[in-house]
Amino acid sequence: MGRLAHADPGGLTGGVSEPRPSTLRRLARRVVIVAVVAAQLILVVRAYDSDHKEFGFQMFPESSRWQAEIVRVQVDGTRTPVDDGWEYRWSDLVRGRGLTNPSIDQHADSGLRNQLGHLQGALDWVARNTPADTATRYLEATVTYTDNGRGPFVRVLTSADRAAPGGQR
Amino acid sequence: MKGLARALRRFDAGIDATGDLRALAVLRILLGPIVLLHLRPFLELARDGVVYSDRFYLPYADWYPEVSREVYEPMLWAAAIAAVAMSLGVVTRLATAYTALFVGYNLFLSKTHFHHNRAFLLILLVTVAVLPVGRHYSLDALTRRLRRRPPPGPAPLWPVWLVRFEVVVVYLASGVSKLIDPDWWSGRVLQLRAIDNRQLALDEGAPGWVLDLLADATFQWWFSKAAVLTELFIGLGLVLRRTRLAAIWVAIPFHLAIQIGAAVQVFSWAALAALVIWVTPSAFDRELVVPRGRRLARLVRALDWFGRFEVARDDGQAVVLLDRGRRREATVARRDADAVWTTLCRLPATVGVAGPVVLLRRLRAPR
Repeated sequence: MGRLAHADPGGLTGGVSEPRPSTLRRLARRVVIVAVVAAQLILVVRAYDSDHKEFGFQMFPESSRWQAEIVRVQVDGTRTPVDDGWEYRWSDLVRGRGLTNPSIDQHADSGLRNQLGHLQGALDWVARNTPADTATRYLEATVTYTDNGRGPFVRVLTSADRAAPGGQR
Repeated sequence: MKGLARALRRFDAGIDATGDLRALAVLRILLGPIVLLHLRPFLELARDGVVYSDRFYLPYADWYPEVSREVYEPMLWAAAIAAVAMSLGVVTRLATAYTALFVGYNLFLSKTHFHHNRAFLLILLVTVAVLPVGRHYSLDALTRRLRRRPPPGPAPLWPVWLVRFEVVVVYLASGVSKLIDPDWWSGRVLQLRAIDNRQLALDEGAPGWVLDLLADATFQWWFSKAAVLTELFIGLGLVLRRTRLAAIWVAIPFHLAIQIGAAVQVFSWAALAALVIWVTPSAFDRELVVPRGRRLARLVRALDWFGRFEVARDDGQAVVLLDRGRRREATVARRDADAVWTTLCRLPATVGVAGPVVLLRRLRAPR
């Protein structure tokens, strides 16, 4: 069948009809629909085991809370809070996602896994992007959190070792 | 098996169906300000000379292309301009495509950029980008008319079916995740949140007795179930034609309540705007016959943004609503008050009031 005028059901739109789609276009539409539906369903299932739950649409998942004390662990083993005598300011380097002032007890906005995933990323990023600091070997965050009111629990996160290759750029 | 085969055949035929996109044009207009709201924090930072890469960010993949500051900033401002052009309907295909491309590009630049409301917004933007939504309510359409070009024809509807699927998934995925979470279902999550936010809410003038109620375990045991079931009802209710109107009507206060009670960025506005995708995509499939001298005709013409009604005046005494079939044959669907309320129920500006009235009338009507 050629590209004849495609019947507008009942002529309801009152305009010029679109030409009938080619076989290739019809096939492409079906492929796109199947691919999008399958991908979306996979993402929904994947979200149950994912830090950030992209396209999983698990909104407002928890009422968990957290806070973290972050220190710089220096080559000689000294542990210094990031707020004390550093060439950098944590809140200048890390903004948003509840990470600007990690020492304040706060709601884990998109859940604990999401929050701790972001904090781990922030530690690694700061360790890599503070070239003027030659004394710090790695950053360490002691996280105290409650899981929907249960706890408190404590977890320690550390950045990549800055002395290791690729630890700083 | 025969039933399944028939359903599959119907579904398959529906993929190639064409229809009217006035409702999606309304969505296009609404999405412009929502995109500006979404881009606002990025624009404010850019105004101060800061871009995402100046601070902590978390790329999804090393291979994802990152442009320099000199390129990113103009791209960002261009997206804001494109959002305005999208709403106005100026070079609409280009404006919608660029807006969707930039919002998507920006979303995937960093894991810290990801929020569910932004993913939802992106889905809506992609939908309006792949459809010819500039055919109505746009400066492009006005130019076309001034040049006496023929009116646009029907457009493919498969992206509409796809975005409907996505919207249903959003409600169901969110609802099911709460349904199977014992802390959510028991009310613990909402109760803790209410307790945590009590002082802030008091400072903002919320009545103490309301906050006491929200912090009460028994209240939250019931309220959480109602919230989860409401979300599931909206998701499932939108799928079926019979329950669609009720689902839309429930969704409006549901999203307004979320907007008041929680910080959800642009989610409430995007979800409310997205309700227009459930409008039947066929224009003038109903005829409303109004007696001369009544203002109803003018009101319906002014508020019929989805182009559902052809309004005619006659010398009779009754308001009559006619349904048009596939061959444009007209059958009397409703008369008098029933016709008026059903019509008002199909107009976006009056559905909030007319929706419950129609539902009550149908419940009370003899079977």
